[in-house]
Amino acid sequence: MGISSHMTRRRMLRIAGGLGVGVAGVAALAACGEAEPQIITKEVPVETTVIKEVPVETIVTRTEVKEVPVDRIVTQEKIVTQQVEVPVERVVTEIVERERVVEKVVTREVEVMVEAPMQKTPVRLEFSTDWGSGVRAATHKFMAEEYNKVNPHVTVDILIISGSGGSTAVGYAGILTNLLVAGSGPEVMSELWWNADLYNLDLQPHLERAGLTPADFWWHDGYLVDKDGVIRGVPYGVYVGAMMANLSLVEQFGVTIPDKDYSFDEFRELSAQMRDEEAGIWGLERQTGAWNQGWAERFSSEGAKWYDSASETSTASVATVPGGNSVEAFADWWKLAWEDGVAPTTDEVQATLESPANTSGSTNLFATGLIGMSGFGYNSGGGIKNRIGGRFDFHVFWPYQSPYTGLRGYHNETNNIVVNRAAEERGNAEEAAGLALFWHGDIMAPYLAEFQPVVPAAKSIWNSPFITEFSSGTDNFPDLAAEAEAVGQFRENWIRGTHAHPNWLEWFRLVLGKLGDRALTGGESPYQMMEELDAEGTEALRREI
Amino acid sequence: MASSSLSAKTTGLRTVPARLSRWRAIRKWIAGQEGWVFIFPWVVGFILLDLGPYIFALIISFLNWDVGRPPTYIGLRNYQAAFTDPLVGKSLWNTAFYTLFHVPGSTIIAFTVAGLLNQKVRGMPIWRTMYYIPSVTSGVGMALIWIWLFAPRGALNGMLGWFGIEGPRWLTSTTWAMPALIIMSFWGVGASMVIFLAGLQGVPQHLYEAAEVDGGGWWAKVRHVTIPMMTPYIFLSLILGVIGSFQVVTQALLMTGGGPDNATLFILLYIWIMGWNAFKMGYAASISWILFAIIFAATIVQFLGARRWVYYEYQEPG
Repeated sequence: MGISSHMTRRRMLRIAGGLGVGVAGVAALAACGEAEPQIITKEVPVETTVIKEVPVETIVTRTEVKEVPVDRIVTQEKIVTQQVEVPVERVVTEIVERERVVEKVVTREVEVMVEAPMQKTPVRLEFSTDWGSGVRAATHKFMAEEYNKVNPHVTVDILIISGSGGSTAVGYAGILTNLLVAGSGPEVMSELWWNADLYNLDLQPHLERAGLTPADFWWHDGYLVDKDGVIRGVPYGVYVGAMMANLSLVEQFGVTIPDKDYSFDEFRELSAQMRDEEAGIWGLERQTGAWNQGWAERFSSEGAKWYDSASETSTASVATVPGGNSVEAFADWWKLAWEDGVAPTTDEVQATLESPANTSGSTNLFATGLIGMSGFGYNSGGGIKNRIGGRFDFHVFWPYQSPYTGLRGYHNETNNIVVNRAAEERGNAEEAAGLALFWHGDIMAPYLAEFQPVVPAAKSIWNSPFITEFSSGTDNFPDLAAEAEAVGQFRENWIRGTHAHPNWLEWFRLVLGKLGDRALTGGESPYQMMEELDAEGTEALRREI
Repeated sequence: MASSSLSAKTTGLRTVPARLSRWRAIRKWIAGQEGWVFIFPWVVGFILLDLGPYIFALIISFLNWDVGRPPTYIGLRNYQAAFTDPLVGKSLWNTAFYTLFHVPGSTIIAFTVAGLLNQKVRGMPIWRTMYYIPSVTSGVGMALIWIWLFAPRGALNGMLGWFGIEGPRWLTSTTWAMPALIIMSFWGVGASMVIFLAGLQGVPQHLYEAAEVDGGGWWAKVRHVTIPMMTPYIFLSLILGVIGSFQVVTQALLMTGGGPDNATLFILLYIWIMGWNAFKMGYAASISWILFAIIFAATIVQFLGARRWVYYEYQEPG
């Protein structure tokens, strides 16, 4: 007689159920009870804490810790005492078990301590970024390797969150803030400005120690200084937009790229001259976004602030420079594509990318070689160069002057590198702050200047041939950046920054929808969209939550 | 024991010891509880993974909290703000619009496809697999494919071009972005289709034979046999469809970001934006509870309405 004749389905279910409940019960009991500590018997050869107060002008203490494998720590400590007349305040040596060997030496005379080669405690740092590809990803890899060469005890792990190649990905801040709140955030973070006073290390002492001040950098407090005036970040780079022209097309059409001062009409005329319908060539790529000569620059030349936090009013249409008219300046920009026909509309952009004339196969419009002029971001010159891939040369030049104010428009940003305050508790704050400043040091700044994932913020290198000879025309950079800084239209005034309105996101979504989606992309009336932005933007700013 | 003996004398039946009878009662009670064994994993999962967050979300809906700083109690202000926020209204309208077209549309398509796949045709398992695969494809992959299909000069507009129709700018037009997402949603009807297919295979053959005897044709059989017998499955599909539609977010997040100009801003996407972009967690939680109330009400209404049109072959004796 087989088992099946006795084992009905119901009985099987009962048995299975019983077993399930039993197992779950045992698991639940195990989980509820206090966890029994796992006892690991291990010999730790040396585990000492030596704290010595050393009188000034008497003793020099040298600590030698031999190199030890991670899994078998043998720490030898040798204290040599001799008579030397140097002021040493206090020597504290702490040796903690296993690989987290921490030595802290507090002294005014650091030279005394480096007399003997010292094995520092291995430190691992995490650096978060959303730069996930191309020259930008390569830059961070280089930074990690070089920092390790300079500080052999420090290993830097690059934590790429949402590798979107540079744009501030929607998920990046959300993920990082989660990590920060959970206490597991990376030691060093790029492009994050959130509750800086609570989560970011005060970098003032580190800047001072390095002999640096904000005046040494492309600087704006919005993403770097908290509401109490404490420096909580260093700039990531120079984010400012100029114009660029395809030199092959300039030659082909026999046109002349204007010098520093030229009008909007000249700009439009130049765009028209470089239009060849049959060949599928357009004079201009007119941005639909905010920066790199987009709508933000149109407001900037008129002195129009995006919104006013104090009165909670949307003010993009309110020019503050005498004679300024930001509505017309924006409409002019809109007309280039939708009325003048010198720049492609959205459909025409797609058609250009897919046309047989695009022999490069590039999905970047300017890089196709079918566009005469476009906005140039000094924050992404390396990326532009890579996309063009040497197929043609390009020339960087100044933006046009507004017909209403005679001023050029800029949209600036510093972005930032910040250090997680938790690094203090982890005992690696020095190394973390060192990494943040390393970005602006003698190794990284020239690298940034040469490959330009972003132009370095350290002004000392702005005249470097790496920058001025990066491409034809980039010798304008120091003057252009200085002019843009003086105009002061930094986006952190209105987005995320220390003094941005609490409802900035609600306002910003509106401006993207009205000006970006509906007017510039969709072709709807720029005047109506500006009106709607004013009305709905003010309402969004005044909403209580 | 005495009572047992007395009982045996008077009834003439074999005596059952009281202890044994109690044991049988316990066994009978245990047997009646076996349903709990089946839902035990869900209950554990619900308590451990869901209930806590629900309670937490309810609490923070009364707080002003940006995650990083200590929260402050603000009573019902989050709810008051939500009821006056035009974007809550806009996103609810968008979500309702999507539901209105997605649920009936996907039900009809899934039902039709299930009917076709219920035929006796060669290679049917292959067809069934092909129709089901899209519903298990990752949302991200699907979004990328559809971005390509919806491109101004993409495959969809290319096909419209065959008929002389100039296709719209699907994802960048405030008029066409929502219809584009609705069309795309039909791609994932496979899950409902499988349920319908199982239901169709359970319709008793004798009912069709009886209909034939009565002179019923193809349509009469569908109308008077198939559809009535399938109503429990259609009802299930509608319930799940409405709940799922109110929680749609992936496509909009990946393909349009809620744009253009909030034309595809679904309520769940708005909650996400308020929570993880604006860090207004309390506000996001309050909108979540409003959403819960709406879904709960919609489900209740569906259940009440179901009494009128859903037919269960097995009914509890009245």
